[in-house]
Amino acid sequence: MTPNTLIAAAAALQRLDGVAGVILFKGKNTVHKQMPFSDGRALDLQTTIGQMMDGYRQVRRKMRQVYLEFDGGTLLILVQEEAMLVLLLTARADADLVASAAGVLLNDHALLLAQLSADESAAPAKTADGIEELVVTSPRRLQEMSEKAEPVVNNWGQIRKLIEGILGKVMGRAQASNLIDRTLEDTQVGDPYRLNATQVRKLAVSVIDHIPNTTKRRQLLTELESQLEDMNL
Amino acid sequence: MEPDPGLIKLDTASGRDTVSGGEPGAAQRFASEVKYVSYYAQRLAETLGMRQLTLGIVEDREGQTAFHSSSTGWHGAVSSNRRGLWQVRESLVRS
Repeated sequence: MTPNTLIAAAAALQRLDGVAGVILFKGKNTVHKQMPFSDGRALDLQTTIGQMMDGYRQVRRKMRQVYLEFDGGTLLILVQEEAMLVLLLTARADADLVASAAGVLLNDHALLLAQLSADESAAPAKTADGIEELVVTSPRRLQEMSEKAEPVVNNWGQIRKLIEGILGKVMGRAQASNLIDRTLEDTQVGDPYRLNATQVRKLAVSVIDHIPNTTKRRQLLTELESQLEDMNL
Repeated sequence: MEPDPGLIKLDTASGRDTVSGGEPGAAQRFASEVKYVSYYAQRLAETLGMRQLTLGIVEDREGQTAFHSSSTGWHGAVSSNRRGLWQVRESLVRS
């Protein structure tokens, strides 16, 4: 078996009824990704799931799967050692059938997954004659639909981490996270990923504005401005 | 075959958590699992453009922890059995 057969198998999961997206990754190595939203959002999803599973690994829990049903859809995460298969399901999906198919995929490719690097994906595979091999795994229509569905997409995940880092200088991690959540609720921005650059900047400033101490607030705002500029915002 | 695990409730009022039902070990594990998963689920919901987690089933090699949101917090169970997702979901929604 080759990585291409693994990619093809992961892509085939999307043909099951109610499967809206699939990501297969190991550490920072994304083997396959086909989600109905931007790459930035998919990367944030991967990062958060990776952190969640790292926590379990630290307490030596051998996770098999995590099923998370939200108000607007379901995430099904299957775990095999460091490899993770994430499926985004709609209400039409038969979760047991999808979990079973995904489990079979992981078992069938266990050896290959174990051999895969957890570092960021290497350059595309080249054939013996030096020509890059083109692997088509994504239906074009779905890509077009995703692009149409998401007119504005920002890197809110990274900006949130930046704000948490800055707030971390004056408060604990949970307190910082709660403050951001509260500001999101108060400002009623809805989905922060859909804000444009100016709105994101305004939102970040409004979080820091909650710091009561004037001197500290000014210092943090200066730092925020500088870091946002580094991110070209 | 083991009997169905007892229902455990994690109620939150005025920022204080109260766990009731189930065996002490299971209740403690249930509360920890719900809090840990809820924290990450909130971040995942934000990324997905959704609002909140309504149901979770966490499975490791030793069993399953399942929980469903209620008006006062969460209710669910810890089990050493491995049951189908649909079966667990249905029993939680009905309870």
